[in-house]
Amino acid sequence: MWGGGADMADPALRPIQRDWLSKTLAGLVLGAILALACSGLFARLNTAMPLGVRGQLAMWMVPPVWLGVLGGVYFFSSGVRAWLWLGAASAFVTGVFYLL
Amino acid sequence: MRSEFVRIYKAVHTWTGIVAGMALFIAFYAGALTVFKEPLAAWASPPVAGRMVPLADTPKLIAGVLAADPATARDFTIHMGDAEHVPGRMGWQVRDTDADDHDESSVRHYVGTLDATGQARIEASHPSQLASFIDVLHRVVGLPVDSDPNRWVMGLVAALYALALISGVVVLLPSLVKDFFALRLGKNLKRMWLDAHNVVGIVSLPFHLVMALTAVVFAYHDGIYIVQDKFVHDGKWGTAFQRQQPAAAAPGRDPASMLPPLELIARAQAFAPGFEPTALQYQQVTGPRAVVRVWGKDAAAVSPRARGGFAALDPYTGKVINSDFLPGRQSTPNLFVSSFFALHMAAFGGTAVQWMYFLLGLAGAWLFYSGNLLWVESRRRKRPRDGGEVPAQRRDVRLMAAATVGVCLGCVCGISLTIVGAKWAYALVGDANAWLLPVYYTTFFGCIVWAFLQGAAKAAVHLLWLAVMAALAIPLTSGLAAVAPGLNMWVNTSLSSLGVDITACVGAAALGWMARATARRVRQGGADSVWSEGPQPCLQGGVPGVGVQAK
Amino acid sequence: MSFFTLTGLLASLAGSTCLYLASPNQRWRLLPLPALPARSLALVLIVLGWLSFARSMQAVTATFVLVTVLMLALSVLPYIGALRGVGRGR
Repeated sequence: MWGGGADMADPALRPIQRDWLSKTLAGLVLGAILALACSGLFARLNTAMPLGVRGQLAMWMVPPVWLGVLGGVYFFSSGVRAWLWLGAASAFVTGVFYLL
Repeated sequence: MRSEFVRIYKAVHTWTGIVAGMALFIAFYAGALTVFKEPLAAWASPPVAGRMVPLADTPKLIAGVLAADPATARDFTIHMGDAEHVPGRMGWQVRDTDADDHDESSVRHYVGTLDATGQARIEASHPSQLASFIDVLHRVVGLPVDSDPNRWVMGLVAALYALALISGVVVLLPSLVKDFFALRLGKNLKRMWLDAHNVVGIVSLPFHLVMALTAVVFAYHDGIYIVQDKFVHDGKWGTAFQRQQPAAAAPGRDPASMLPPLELIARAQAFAPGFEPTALQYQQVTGPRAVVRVWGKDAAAVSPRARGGFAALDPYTGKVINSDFLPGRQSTPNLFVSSFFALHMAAFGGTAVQWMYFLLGLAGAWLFYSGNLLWVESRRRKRPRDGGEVPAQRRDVRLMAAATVGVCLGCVCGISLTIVGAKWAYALVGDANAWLLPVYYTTFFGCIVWAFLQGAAKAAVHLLWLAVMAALAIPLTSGLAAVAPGLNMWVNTSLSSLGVDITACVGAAALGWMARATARRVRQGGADSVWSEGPQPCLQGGVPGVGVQAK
Repeated sequence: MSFFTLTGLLASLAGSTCLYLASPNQRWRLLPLPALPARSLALVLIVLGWLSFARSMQAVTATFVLVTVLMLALSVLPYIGALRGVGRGR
């Protein structure tokens, strides 16, 4: 699932490290950044919507994304990979948000 | 999926579930009852002295009250119906400025009436806080006050709940299709509790996801808005809900020239057929931005709040100013936001959906209760097949079983007795609201202490019978009030108030069935369990300070 | 409650029951209903339920109500089935 990707080696054979602390922190910290960036992107792309309701929808987006990331983070095969992948995703979405 | 992931997520599910489970039981049990907040308020409301001012006389009432107390113009409400929990035709609230927005206990209530000569009179009213008290238990997982820190605790519980849902689904995925709908009763008790837990959890998963996410939002929206204002809205969020100043402010408008309430209702209904108004909330009626919110319900639509939604009208011209919160008339983005509220609060589809949410809420409470039972059952030490001595159960398992029984049944007993107490305290000492909190927490903590002293097995039977009696006391109190008027109690005969009595009877029957089934297991089940009557009170075996009996 | 809300409730409850009875894990009857016909009937009844709800309420509301009925009915049916199974000594 999430742990696969760039690595060409068979991901089914890679040992899975539990890394409770680092995975949980990655989900909490990077999940929050990713959720905030997604909500910002949503607000940037829907400027035609009145600010009142756009802001409410942007706020409602944060907990599902944040908790979704936190819930999925244990599928990474190690804490390091969780930080790398989620960090890259956060950096990408945040970058797009500031460029728009 | 690799089995290693299932093991990891099983650990996540176990820990989040065990930490949040009992708090969620309270939130769901109290929440199921909160669906019927208005009937509960109707049940507990003493009869109103004097007659309700006829709707046709309300313009005179409004003018008289505003002349007597001009500050009332800030915000007051005209109630359309005459349900038992409506203390008068015209009501308003005065709030301490330093109190929390959600704290209902510091609010003072007033009603305006007309006396026999047609003079307006202002009286303080003391509506029953029973329904709000149960709602607060629901909103802050059993804590007594709906304050910021308590809501943050609730938000944390809700976040753990969301994690428990995600991890629970991952754990279930490998056997999802094979075991769908399975509920295997029989010798394998762990299997039975697992099935009973899974079937509710997976089938009502959408309901639970909505509850978890909305609860997190209800707890943390202020904080999220502050951060987003800084990074996303460039500090402009504060202006989002300001209405534009009228070009020429007309100072000192005469509220006597407002359209009569029945006319305003007619305008709102002409704008939105099918909308059934329940109340008119007037705001700033003497100022340049006078507005009346025509609150009401529409069973055919999705409502933005538990009490329905509103059309904002100009009370002088009857023009509709804003329909952003009007059920059925919202723009798609507004409907999206309203749907979150409606799906949390059963604010769609009318009474049928309220009953279904009541049952889904109770099923949710059962989900958390059965989760704890499963945890206990999975850690059972079994007697060897070839006979031999009955092993002592682990102490943490005995403690968890006792805590589950004490907290969950303590909440059930406590809420029932608080409902009963609301009527008795009014009859005996007058101020019923002061007794809600002591009655609930005395019962709640009493049940917990009893569960730890007696052990889960015996206490479960005792407390279930206590719950039966407490639930039965609700209709018995109404019956007693009907046959013995000298007690200074009352029985309200509206369908919604009688519905509380009938529901309590059905609840008592269900609890009685559980009490008998539990007693059977305690007597006849295997002795190698915390649910056996055997000599294993949960505090036995080495808790410092507690007398240890001979084993 | 309006007439179409009532028929919608009945149709979606009947559809849920068919869906449960077609499951190999059902305990209500001795044998499950034949899977394909029963599941097709369940689908038809559930669609009819939605159409009926949609006659008395807006489409969004009808969808929410239908999902609520399905969640409640499909949670409760396995319990009814299990208790009936116990009554029959299974």
